[in-house]
Amino acid sequence: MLAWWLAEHHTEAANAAHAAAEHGAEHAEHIPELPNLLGVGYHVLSEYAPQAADALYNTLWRIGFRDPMMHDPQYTAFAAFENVVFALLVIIGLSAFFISGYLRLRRSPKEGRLSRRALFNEIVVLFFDDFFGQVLGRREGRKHLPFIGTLFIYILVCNSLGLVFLGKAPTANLSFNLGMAVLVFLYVHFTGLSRNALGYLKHYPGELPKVSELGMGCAGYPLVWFMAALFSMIHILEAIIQPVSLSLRLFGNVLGKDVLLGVFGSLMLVPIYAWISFYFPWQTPFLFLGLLLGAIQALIFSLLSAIYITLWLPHEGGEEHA
Amino acid sequence: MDSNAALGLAIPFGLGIAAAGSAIGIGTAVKGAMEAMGRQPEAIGKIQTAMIIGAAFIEALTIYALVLGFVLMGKIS
Repeated sequence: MLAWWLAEHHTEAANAAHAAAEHGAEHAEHIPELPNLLGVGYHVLSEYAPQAADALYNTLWRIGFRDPMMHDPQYTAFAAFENVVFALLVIIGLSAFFISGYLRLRRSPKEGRLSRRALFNEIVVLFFDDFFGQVLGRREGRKHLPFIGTLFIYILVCNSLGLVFLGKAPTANLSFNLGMAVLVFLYVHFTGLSRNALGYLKHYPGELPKVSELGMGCAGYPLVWFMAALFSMIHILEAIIQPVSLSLRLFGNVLGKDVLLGVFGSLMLVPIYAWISFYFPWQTPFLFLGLLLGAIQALIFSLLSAIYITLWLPHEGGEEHA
Repeated sequence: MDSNAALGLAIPFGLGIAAAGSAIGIGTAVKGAMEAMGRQPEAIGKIQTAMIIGAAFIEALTIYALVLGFVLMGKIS
């Protein structure tokens, strides 16, 4: 009897919590996330000035912002807009920080008077030089260091934005990660083309045995052609899968972390009486997990890009074929 | 059975199987890393880095299943 009464009150409280949980988050039928600055701003605007909110939303929709995957269709344009705004904030913030370090380095030529920000720049660059120099080799590593280092820092900071109080990680969007992965794909193949010239096409069939070595006489020719076709298909498929897997890995990890934080953050502490329930930051232990995972995923993305670049450089060692 | 029931039955099972597979994989990888660390304690830093990278690769396969779960969850009416 007491259990039934408690259950009934809990259902009431759950309904109240459900209705109240929509205050910051989006609608109930899609994946919950923590509220971010722009979402809260839009919500407040739509309560106090609905026409302005509608006009803003229509403008965004007409410009072309869409995010159909994770949000319900009424909110999709603003979700895409949030991603773009946060990404731009990251770009501007990071550029300002590192460029100011570079300017201070140029302004104080004496060794003993380097400022701390310039030293921080140096620490970062030396870390990349050590780490990616192991994969790419010293000389090549220096050439591709800007691209890979930028990828690492950018993804790291973007992932960490989801942990800040009113922030959203732009990498929790598949289109965003796919854009970065396509950029990596174009860079890798452009590097391959510019290094190997026409030997670029020779990478696809791989290293085939000569027909005279096979010892099968005339029947060796169809076999070698078959092997060439098979290996070409495998390598083309691998080249297509690489950006897909890069983007999906990053997207899944960051979205999973955001959803975990959202689900735990929207749990309300509901004691027996529903009117003294309140939000409690249950997601605090998972913030550290999110920090670790974000760093690991940034490292994986940039390291994989470096490995893909290495695979296309002219052979220093043997290449393993499937 | 209608599609909602089928999806509701299949998504958690699929995720569970993917998680089990990657658990076995990561367990094997970490086991190898632990043995290597035990044999050569001065190389612990490098082995740890390689272990983390390998674990992230294996975990990515489970994440693909999770992404599929997210997409299909939106199709349950």
